[in-house]
Amino acid sequence: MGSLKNRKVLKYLFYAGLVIAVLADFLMHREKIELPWDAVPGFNAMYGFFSTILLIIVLRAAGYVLLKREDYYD
Amino acid sequence: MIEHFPVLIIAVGLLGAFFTPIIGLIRKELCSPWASLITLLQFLISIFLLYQVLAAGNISYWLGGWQPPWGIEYAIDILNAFVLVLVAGVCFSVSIYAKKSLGFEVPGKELPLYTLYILLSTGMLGIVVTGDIFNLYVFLEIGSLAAYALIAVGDRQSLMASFNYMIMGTISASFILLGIGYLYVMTGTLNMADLSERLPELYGRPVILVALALLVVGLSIKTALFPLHTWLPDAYTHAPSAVSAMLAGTFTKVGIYALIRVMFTVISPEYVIETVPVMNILSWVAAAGIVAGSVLAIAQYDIKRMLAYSSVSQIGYIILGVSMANKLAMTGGILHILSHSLMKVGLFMVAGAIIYRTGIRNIYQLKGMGKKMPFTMAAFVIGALSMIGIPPTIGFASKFYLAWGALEAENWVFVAVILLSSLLTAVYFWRIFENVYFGVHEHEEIKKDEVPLSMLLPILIFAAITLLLGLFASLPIGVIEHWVTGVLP
Amino acid sequence: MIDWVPPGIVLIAGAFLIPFLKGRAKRAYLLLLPVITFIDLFFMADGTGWAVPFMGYNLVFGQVDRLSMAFGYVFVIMAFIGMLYALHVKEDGQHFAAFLYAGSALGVVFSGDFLSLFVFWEIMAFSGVFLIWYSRDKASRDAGMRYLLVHVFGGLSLLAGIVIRLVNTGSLEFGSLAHGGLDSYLILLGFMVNAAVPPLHAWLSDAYPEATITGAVFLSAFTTKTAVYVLLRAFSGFEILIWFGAAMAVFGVAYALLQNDIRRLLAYEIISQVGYMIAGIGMGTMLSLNGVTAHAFTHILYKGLLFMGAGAVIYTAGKRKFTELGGLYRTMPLTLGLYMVGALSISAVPFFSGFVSKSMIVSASAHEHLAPVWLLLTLASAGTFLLVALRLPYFTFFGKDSGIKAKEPPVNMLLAMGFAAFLNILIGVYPAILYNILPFPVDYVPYTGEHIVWTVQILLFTALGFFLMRDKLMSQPAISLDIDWIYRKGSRAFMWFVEKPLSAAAQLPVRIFLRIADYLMWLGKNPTRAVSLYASTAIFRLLGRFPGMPPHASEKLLENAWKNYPGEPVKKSPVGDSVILVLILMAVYAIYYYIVT
Repeated sequence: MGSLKNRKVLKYLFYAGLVIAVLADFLMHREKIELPWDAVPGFNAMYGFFSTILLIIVLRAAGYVLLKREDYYD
Repeated sequence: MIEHFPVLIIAVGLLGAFFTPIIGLIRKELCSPWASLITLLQFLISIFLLYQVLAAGNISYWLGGWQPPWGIEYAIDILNAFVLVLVAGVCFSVSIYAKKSLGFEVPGKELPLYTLYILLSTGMLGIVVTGDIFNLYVFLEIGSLAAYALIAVGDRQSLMASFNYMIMGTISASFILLGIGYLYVMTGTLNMADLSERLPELYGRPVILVALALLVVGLSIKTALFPLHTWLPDAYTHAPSAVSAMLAGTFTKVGIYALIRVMFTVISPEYVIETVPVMNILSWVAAAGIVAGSVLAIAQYDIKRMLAYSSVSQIGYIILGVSMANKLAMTGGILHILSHSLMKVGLFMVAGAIIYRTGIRNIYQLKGMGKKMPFTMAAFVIGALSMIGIPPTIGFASKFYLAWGALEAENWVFVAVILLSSLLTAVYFWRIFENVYFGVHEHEEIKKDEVPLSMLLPILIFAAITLLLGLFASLPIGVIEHWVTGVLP
Repeated sequence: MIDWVPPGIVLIAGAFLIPFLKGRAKRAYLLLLPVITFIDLFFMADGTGWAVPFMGYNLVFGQVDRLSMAFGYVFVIMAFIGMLYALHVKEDGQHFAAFLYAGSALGVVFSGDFLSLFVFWEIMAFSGVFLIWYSRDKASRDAGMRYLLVHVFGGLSLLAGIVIRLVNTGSLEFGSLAHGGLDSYLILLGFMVNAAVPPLHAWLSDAYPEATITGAVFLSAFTTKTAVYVLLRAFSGFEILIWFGAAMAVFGVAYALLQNDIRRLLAYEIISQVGYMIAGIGMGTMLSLNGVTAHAFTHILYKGLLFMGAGAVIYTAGKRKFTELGGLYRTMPLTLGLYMVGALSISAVPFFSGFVSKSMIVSASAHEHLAPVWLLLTLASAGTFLLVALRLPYFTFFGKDSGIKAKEPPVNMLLAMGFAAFLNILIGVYPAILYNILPFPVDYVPYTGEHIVWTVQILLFTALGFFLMRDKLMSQPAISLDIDWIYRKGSRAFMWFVEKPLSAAAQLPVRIFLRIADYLMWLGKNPTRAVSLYASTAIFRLLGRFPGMPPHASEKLLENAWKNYPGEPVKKSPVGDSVILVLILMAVYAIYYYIVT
């Protein structure tokens, strides 16, 4: 995964990307508003983030179950 | 000469059977080619007769020049000619296959075997060709007696199987004879055409009803219609494979032919369909037979026995088609006579080929057979797919017409039965595919080891015809439809 | 008319030559056959060709329009890629089955009537099962059998629908059916089985992970996409499909989350992606139908690539579970890179193929103001990125080092993946190539400012979520104390809920399906005996014993009977029984005839 320093650079680039993506949304011209949240800047970022958290929680819970099951069958 | 062909097809057979022992006494090995020659002649004559019927219309041949109804008439229309070609073709092809197969399974019995073989073939052709109902009975007895004896030649249990068959067959024959006797007493004639003219005035009489019941039950036994099929599985399992193949492809079909002939030509279609619900009852019995045969086939692990039970189911299909008595279903039913004959003869020959090479009959021991006998097993797959009704095989065409006919009759139970039984058929054949192609053979390296060409060739030809006729199904369907439109109002 | 041949026939007929060739010539031929088919495609003229009269109907093997051509192109391309990927396989049978399978899928696409469609449909089911069985182990044999049972059922439903339709309308023509009626519902059911619409999906996730490495690549491409094609043609604008599709998209992702087997995860992802297409078919607008076609096109390419990547890992590492894999990036960098192209494509990252196709469907839902559908599809999108582009590569190629000494797969596999990756990027960068072959004229522009920004937002913040919580994405062999403490103290009830009803509900369709299949196999061993066992058990339960036998002995008898199942199937009935039966039947017939008249 490269050296520690590279990793740090990558990390900051990633954070910069996050910020830019949200900021750009404020400046973006919208051609038409089709869904209510199309006008809300950063909605997609929020939605993407919380979808992920939700899915991971489901996975974690399920993973816990699966692990127990593996024990169960052993 | 040509105008005598209807009787020649019988005469050739009877003379051939008579000379077989004499030829056999000179050289035993000559029996088999002799039988092939005789059946080939019969096959060629039957093809010519079919051609003539299609080109010039029905044939009426007066035996010895005696005018019917006093003399015996041989009357051939499209249905006879169609069944004639089928029966003679199967008998000829199997006779080629039989040389090695019978030589292996029942060595040293060529002399009686081939005599009986020709007699059986001739008996069946006689049933089909004749226009005289008592003559039909006589040929039925010739064929049956030959069949009992042929079955009895098989393995150790074949004697018992043959004995059971003989008892059932004899009861059947006596029922048929009684039925014919009643008709004769009432009308004073035995000629089919003449009977059909004189019977309508007697339709109110109870004696006709009894005759009808006797004929239906008697012919049900001969065709092995469920629940009177009990003789069939044992007989087909224990008879020599070549004999099983021949019987499965022809004898029950001839019985069905006789049923159709008696019901729709001698007695009028309106009477058996509308006045007395003979056909209606038969169709429900047949539907039960379709399901029961399939379920029982699933339970078997002897390959020949499984095929025998599958025959019970398929006979149900044919009778169902015929007895629904609308044009589509009837066409499907008669087409299924052809398709079942092709598939089942092919499948029984494959079973015989497996026994010839390995002696295995248990389907769970067939592992690795796909590598050992690739061509034989490929033919088996084609036959089996046709049984299931997978296009583009002939089995699909006939099942399609049957299902269509059932829809036309708006009988949803029959539609469901036809489809369900397809599924069951897939189950019992797929077990074999799985073992043959994917079963892991533990011990030895499997080498290709096909059966001799004289066995392989008929097997491959039947598989090819199953496929080809499926692609060009309109050919036989056109012929059958022509006959059906003439019979059904 | 004469200058082209239905492409499906080319592949199927060509497959029969395989056994006659040897060595290098055979390999060349395997690649040449799809190329010939592709060239053949260019000669196909719009309209109806190859109409063959059959039993009084016209079988149409060459119904050509823009829609069928689009599917035709991608099917042939995929056949080529899949064959390149499978070139090292020595067994002729596998190649034969693959060509038969791909050829029949092509046959369906160019069928103009229901009968020939059904024929190819069945060939597809029956040849597909061999791609599974060639794994040659017990799991694949069982899974293949279940696959077959489901498809035979689906095929029967389809056939029943076709026959009813034939009787009602007298026509076999294959066209739009969205008007309702028993026939169209039966046909829809048959199609939906192949499209793996839940709850009819279990065959897919059950069978694909058990297929051979190369077979799974073919399977992932054809069966579901053929179903999408026929649904598109017959049921576009059938509104219920929107909701089926949206639910399916999320359902696939949710199930994929639970998987530990890499190919099973990808198999559930197919269900999710096909969900987008089904939803698009339901919307039925020009944009959405274009989107469905485009998405089917790109999905075949990137899902094939993903299955090839996963296959390469299984091929060289010999393991297929997350818990057994990890740290492979050092020895398989090329595979990783090519896999990532597929992963980024499925995640709809700009400049990869998924972006230009998936966004058409999602935009179509926005155009129709279907807000819930948009939310569901976008949720599935985030989940797909999380699973396929982050979780799978992270735990397979990075993560803890599993110590497996894997190397890059054979050259032909890499070439196949490279070609697929190239196409994915090409379509992503020049969407016009794809848009030009879509069924309707396209005025859709994927690369607008807001669209790119929004997509990037979703992707980046999904990634953020992943990196924040990646430690919690994998079950560790030992659970650390603090997490343990939360589960034990904080939410015992929640855990119970997740453990018992929720997981049971999640596994229910699969379990029911497996139970039914197993039961049928059990029953099939000796149905008559099984029925008599049931009957005698019922008698025993009712009476407490068998008539004329003490209770204890009866119980013993019954127990032995169950133990000995299936036992001896041959049951000989004495000939006397048959004779009595004959007499009874005769009497019944005669009396019945008499009464009726």
